[in-house]
This record gives sequence, C-alpha cells and structure tokens, in this order.
Amino acid sequence: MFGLFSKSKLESSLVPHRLMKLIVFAYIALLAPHFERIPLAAIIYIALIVSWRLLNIYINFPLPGVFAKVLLVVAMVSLLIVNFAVSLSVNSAVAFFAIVLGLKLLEIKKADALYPYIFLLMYLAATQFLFEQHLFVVLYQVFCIGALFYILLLMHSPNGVVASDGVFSIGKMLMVAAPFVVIIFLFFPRMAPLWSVPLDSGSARTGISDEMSPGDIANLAQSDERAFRVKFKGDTPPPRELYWKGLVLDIFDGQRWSSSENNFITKIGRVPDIRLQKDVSSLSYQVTIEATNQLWGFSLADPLPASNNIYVSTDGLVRFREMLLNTSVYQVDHAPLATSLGKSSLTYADQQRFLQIPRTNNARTKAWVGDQLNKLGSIEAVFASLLEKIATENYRYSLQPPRLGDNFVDEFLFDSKVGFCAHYASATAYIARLLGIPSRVVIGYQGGEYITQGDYVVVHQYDAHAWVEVWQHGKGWLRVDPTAYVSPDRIERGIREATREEGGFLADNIFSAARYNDFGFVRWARQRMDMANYYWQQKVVGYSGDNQSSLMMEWFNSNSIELMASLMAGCSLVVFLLLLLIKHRQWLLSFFHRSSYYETFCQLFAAAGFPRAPGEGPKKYAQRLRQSVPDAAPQIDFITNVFITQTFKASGDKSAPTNINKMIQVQLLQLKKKLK
Amino acid sequence: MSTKSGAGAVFNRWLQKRIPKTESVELNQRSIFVFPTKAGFYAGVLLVVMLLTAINYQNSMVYMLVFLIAVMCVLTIHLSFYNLQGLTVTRLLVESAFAGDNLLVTFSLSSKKDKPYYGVWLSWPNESEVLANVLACEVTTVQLTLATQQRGTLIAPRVLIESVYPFGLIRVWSWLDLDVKGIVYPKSIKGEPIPASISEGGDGEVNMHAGSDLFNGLRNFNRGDSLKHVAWKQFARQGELLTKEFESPRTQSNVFSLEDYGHASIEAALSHLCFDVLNAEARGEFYALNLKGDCTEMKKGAEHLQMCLQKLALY
Repeated sequence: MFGLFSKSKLESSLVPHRLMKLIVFAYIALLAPHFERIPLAAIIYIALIVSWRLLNIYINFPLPGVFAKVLLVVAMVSLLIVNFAVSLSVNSAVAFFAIVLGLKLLEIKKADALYPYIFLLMYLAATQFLFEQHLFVVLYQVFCIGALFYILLLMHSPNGVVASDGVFSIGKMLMVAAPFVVIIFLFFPRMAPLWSVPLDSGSARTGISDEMSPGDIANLAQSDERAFRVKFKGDTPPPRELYWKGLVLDIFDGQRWSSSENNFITKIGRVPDIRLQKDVSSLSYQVTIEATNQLWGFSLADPLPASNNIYVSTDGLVRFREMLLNTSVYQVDHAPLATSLGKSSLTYADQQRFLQIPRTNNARTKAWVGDQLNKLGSIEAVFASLLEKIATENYRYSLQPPRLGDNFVDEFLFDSKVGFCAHYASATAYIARLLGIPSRVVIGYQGGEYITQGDYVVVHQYDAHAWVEVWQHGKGWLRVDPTAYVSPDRIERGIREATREEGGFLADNIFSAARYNDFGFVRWARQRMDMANYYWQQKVVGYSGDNQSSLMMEWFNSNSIELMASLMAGCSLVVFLLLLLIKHRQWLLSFFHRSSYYETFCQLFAAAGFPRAPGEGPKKYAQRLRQSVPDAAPQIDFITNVFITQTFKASGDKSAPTNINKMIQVQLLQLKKKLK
Repeated sequence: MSTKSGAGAVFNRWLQKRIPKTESVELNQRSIFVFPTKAGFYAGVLLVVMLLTAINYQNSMVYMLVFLIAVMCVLTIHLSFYNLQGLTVTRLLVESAFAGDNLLVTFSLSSKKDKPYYGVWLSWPNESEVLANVLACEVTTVQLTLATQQRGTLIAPRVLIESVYPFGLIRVWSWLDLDVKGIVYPKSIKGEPIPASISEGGDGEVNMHAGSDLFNGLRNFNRGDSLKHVAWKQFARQGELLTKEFESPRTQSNVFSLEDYGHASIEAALSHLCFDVLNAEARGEFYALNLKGDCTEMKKGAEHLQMCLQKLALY
C-alpha cells in the first residue's frame, strides 16, 4: 500500500559476470594485507576457491553442487581446527572471517546476495586496522571502500553509462565526505570498551625475544622495521646515552640467556584507555611503540611511569598492563630518587639469581680467570682486564660471526674473537659471574636515528642491542657495554657505521630504504615519510578519549557529551552550507554582482542596434562602434580606454584620477543623449 | 492502492491531497518519499557492529571507517533523492484494449535540468516494471501495460515511480496520478445470433443491397476469413491463399444489434457484437451497430470501427 519496502528489482536476477569479477578482485584486494596472518594451508584453500569462481566467470565452469560444498566446508573446518584450535585470538578470528568470506564467493548467484557480501567486505577492510594503522594502510583501505561503493554503483547503473563517470563521482563523494568525517572524528564521544574482547593477535612480530643466544640479535640487524619512536620533552640526549632497556636476562645455561620474568599474557581483556600525565619533568619522553604482542616496553635507566598503561617491574623495566596489540603511546619520566633506593643491597635470592652459572663448560675461560685473579689480586681488576683485553687484542665486531660449539665462551674469547654484541655481552656477564659479581644481560635497543625536522628519535629493529649490567655494592646496577670497547662506532654512530667495512647491514633486505641512507634523497624521503607516519600515529591514530577530553577542555572548557553533539551538528551544518555555497556559487555571484559601467555601455549600444558580438574584444568593438556612430566617438574611446586600463593593469595601480567614477557617469549620460 | 480498508482509504485521501491528479508532474520534495531499502538496513547493521568493534578495541581508524561509511550513506540519501527530484513525468497516450488484454500507456520522462536520472522504475501495482534512464536535458518515453478485466472506462491506479540509484541503499519513490483513463472494449467472442426471421429484421437499405454479390478483387488471406471466400482456383494454380473480396455486405445481418443476442447476458451480447463488428471490418464489409435504438451509419474503416467499439465499451 504505502510501499515502504518494494521488492528489489535485482532480487531474482543473476549477478552479471562483470560484477562478479569485480567482487572477486575486491575480495583479493582486501585479503592481501591479511596474508601474513593466514596460515599457508588456508591461503591455498582460498586460492582454490577464488580460482574456481574465476573459472566459473570466464569459462562457465559449474559452481559446486551440494556434495562439493559439504566437502569444502569440512575442509575449512578441519583447516581451522588444525591451525587455530588452541588459541582464541584476534588473528584467528580475522583469518576465520576471511576464509568464510572466500567460501561465500562460491555461493553468490543472485544479485541481492551481493549487498550483505559487500558490507561484509567493508568489515574485512576494518579488521586490518586491528593490526596496522599506518597512513598508507589507511589510504589503501579507504580506496578499497571507495571501490566497493563503485561496485554498488555499477549494480544500479545502466550498462556502460556510468563506468567512467562513476569513478569520478565516487571520488567526489569521498571528498565531500572528508570534512564531515573529520568533524565527527573529532567530536564523536569516545567510550570506554563495553566488554572484554580477545586481545592476543597471535601473530609473530619482528623484535627482540625473551631469550638470547649468540646470533639472535644479528638476525634483527636484517630488519629495518620500526620498533618505536621517542620524543623527549627536553633535549634529546646523544645516541651513546640512549640505552633502551627492554629485558633483563638472568638465567644462563651455557648457550643461551633467558629471562625468569613471568610473562603471563591474558587472552581476553579490555583495551586500555590511555592517559598521559601532564606534569612531567623535562627528562620525560613519550614513546610511540609499534605492536609487539608482548607486555614489555622500553625505557632508559631508572624509569618512572607517567601514563596509565604502564608500570615498572621489580627489575626496573617498563611493562604494559595489557598486551601491546596496536601501535600505542606511553610516557616515561626519569626517576631521580630511584637511583639511591634499592641500590645498597641485593637480597640473597637475587644474589643467587644473578650469580647462577652452569657448572661445567668453558674450562679455558675459567683457567684464564683464575690466572688473572692470581696475577692481579682483585676481582675488579680482573673484570677491568677483560674489557681491556677486548679493547686491545684483535677482537672484531661482526654481523657474520662463525658458528660456535658447546664451550662458546672459550671458543669466542680465545679462538674466533669475532662476535656480535650478544657474544660480547654473554661472555662478559659469564666472566663477571665467575668472578662472583652479580651480573645480568640486558637486551633492548641502543641509539636510534634522530629526525631533525620532527625532533624525535626513531629506533629500528636493527638498533637491537645487548649489554651487561653488573652489581656494585652501594652503587647498584652499573651498565657495562663490552661492544663499546671493541667497536665504539656501534655506540656512537650506529650499526651502519660499525659494519661499514664488513657489510652485512640489512644484507638480506635489498629493498630496504635504510640501506641506501647514504644517498641524500633517499635519506630525506625516508625521514619525511617517517615523520608523516609519526604525526599520523601521534595525532590521528593516537586520538583517544583522553586526547578528546583534553582538547575539549582546552578549546571550550567543557567536555560534556551535549557540547560535543552540538559541536558535531554545528560544524557539520557549517560545512554543509559551505558546500551548498560552492555548488551554487553562480547564483551567489549573481546576488552580489552589480552591472558595471562597461556593461551599461554595451547595453546602450545593443539597444541602439549594435550588440557586442560574442568573443569580440573591447578594442575591436570600439572600432566598429566608431564607424557606426561617429559622433559618439569621444565617449566610446573614453569608456573603452578606462575599461581596458582598469581591467588589464595591476590592481594596485593608483594612477587613475580619483573622480574617475563621476567622469564615467557623465560620459555615459552624454552617450545616452547622443544615441537617442 | 486499490485497498478498500480504512488505512488504505485514509492514505489515499492523504495522497490525493499531497500529489493531486494531473497529466504532467514535476517531482519535488512534496511528492518524493525516501526510506532505506533492505540493503540500507544491512548497512546500518554493519555500521553498528563496526562501531562496537571500534569502541571495544579503542581503534581510531575503525572509528574513522565507521564515520566515513556513515557519511557516505547520508550523502546517498541526498543523491537518491536528487535522482527523482526535478524529473517531469507526463502521460502521453493511452491506447485502448479489449478486455483481458493489456492496456498500453505511454509516458514521457524528461530531464529539464542539466542532470541525468538513472535506474528509474515505473510500474502499476502487480504489473510488470519498466526501467528508464533519462539523460541530461533529454526526454525518454516509457510504455507501461495495465491488465484489463472488463469493458468500460478504466481509471488506472496511481503509477509507482521509484529508484534506488546510486547504491541501492535508499529507495525513493512516488505515487503519481497522471489521469490515465483508458477505454476497454468488450472481449471479442463469437456468438450464435438468433435467426433473422425471429429478429425484427434490418432496415430497407440493407435489403436493397441483399444478394448483390459484386466481386471486387482478390486480397491476401487473413486469419478469420471465411473459407467460402477463398479463391480455390488461384490456390490450385499459384499455391497462394487469396480471399475473394466483395464490394457489398454479403448478408443482410450486417446491422448488428443487441437483440440478435437477446438470449445472452448483456456482457456476452456485447462481446458477440464486438466479434461481429471486427469480423465485418476484417472482411471489408459495411456494417452498422444498433444498440437499443442508438444506431450508427452503415460504414466501414478504422474510424468507424473505433466508434463502434467505443459504443460497445461504454454501453
């Protein structure tokens, strides 16, 4: 009757092949960023399904019947059980969703099934943001959303009419939408999470791990992924002081160092509402950290948490309260008081913990330590002689050290003498423990690339580093970096310089822009891109409820929901009116437009039978008029000349007489009389 | 539309006031209705789920995507509305039809502004829909059919004009009363007239012509031609079916009158008369119609036929 709903005109019609093709490609485009998260078997499965559908499109290969469909579903379920049964994670949920969407491709026959499918694809686009929110990722997904709207448009367009126009109109729509999106983004009230959600994204990330065997960190030297960015409130310290502590490794089994820290990670929880403290000292810094899927954060020595999402562990390390799934921000201040606290003594349990060494192995090292102890007499002197040995004998810093056997400290110290920071740290901590000095290996990052334009430091994975902390009674943990003795360049100028002669920096990563930093343009472009991404992460991705309320307080001194709603409505209205004005600018111009004296002049002659031809220049027109109406020649010349001078001379030209308007009026009056 | 229920009647009265009957109408905000389609509601569900994701994961970019899609949907309302706004629909020609056949009505859709209208569907309730695309500053004609059941004047219900362009998320529509009035002739059914002797008989003019079987020539055989008139000799010679044409009516009963079918109901009688009239016209004979004294001239030709059929339709 009233007909709120009408039977869809497309309901019963089959999806045309050209549309189905686009749908399949859109699915592939949206799946592509998820490839790293989907197990290989599932990718093969999806490839099979996609090619089946494409075969159907191109050569009319029949779609699966009931039997084949059941088989496919069984295959999918077993695939999921094998790959994801153990963990409920964001990663497995997204992979499941993506696979089901792939399977659905074989089901679509009728055109009206396309609507829900396209919306599900839009959701698939959104899921990528659970993993990455970089500027380019966002641009890519917005492009994909536009493409999906384009497919919707094609569904409703007469054949061929809109194909080329459509892209343009979708682009225009996105452009019109942009200001509204910005307004809503700014003022839409952010709520705290409503319920707990699976947090673990389950995927492996490049980065340091909680174990270190010689060679581990050398692998990281091949990665130019960003670990985090730091912006200091005060001056940025020089690179040699930037030791970013991440983990303390206290257990040594002769080969590898590992951490006794219990990294219990909750699978389900609430995403934190991050708040940064405002009153912090000039030594404080803000860290924008990439997702690690771990709890650990990085800080300089003696951290004091200055945001609500972190705390400091008993080992003096920054730890997150929730697993780090997304790029996140935290703030750390320097704790001056902490330096004197807890430094006077070490508990007995801790002493045991930091002195533990495997009983056998490394006989030569033990002998050497014994000899030195006899020769030099004091523990401190022996430890100093070790560092001297490293600095003076021909030890070499290398990204490609030889493989070492069971007695790796022996082999490294006395035979190969070639190693990466992990080797030096390992050997040093081991010898310190042999000497009875409580010691531990610290891993984290060292240095970083200073971005002058943005005044912040970028720390990459290749800045990963390992060093040693030794306990000194009354002074607490002291940092000893044996790598600094063998390769001062590594500490002062970074790993690039340290391995310049040998090569090997990003050796496997030929396309990495960081590898070509020597070229000025590459460096410039890389830093600019990083800066754009940094501000994107800081200002846009990091825009949370906290930022919003402080922004509201700063601008309007209130952060009530009513205010935000009215701001949203008000600003949208203003933008809407502006767009309306742009659209109807012709009308607007005519509203303010007053006919000029030259138009009056033209109208007068037009009424007398000499209209100005379209495209006729004022000079030519004047010539023609002079011939036709010779006795009005002075007026014609005067008005034409004034018009030409005014129109074509610079607007700042003030040489015209002040009473020019009056003169023009007089001339026009005379002209009127003459034409009558 | 044809519902007689209370709500329907109220709605129809309201519609009558809002979109009054007129031959040509330019669609504007008074006459256009806007409501989401099923797909539009799907989009709403998507937005809600996505917003929940954004809230629970505190994910700025998912928020952004929600806002982007929402704004696109709101813009779609505007675009959908503009895809009917300003379109002028004019009823052009209403053809006549025999009862049971389809009435053919031609409409024109014209774009007066410099903008095209895509994917505009026109239909009558329960009738097949016709799709039209109108290019900027152009006129498109659309033919709609309307099933007829009984003879007489058919006042067509309101025409539904709708569009879901551009994305199928929003449906805009209007019910237009374009004053479509068609004439439906009776269904042509062959009947057995009461023998002439019982009937009151024709008038003298016809009798005068009786028996004057003047052979006029040959024409191509048409379906429905009497086999008696087939030129069998020509058929044997050339293999072509030809019908012999006669200048004058063959029988005196070419004055078709309602009384011929006195034994049948009025509707049946009119149907039989309709058949007779068509038959006579097809044979190229002169004929007249006598409907209870309302008598026509003895004539033939399209104009005459139409007049007779109209008389039958409106009797």
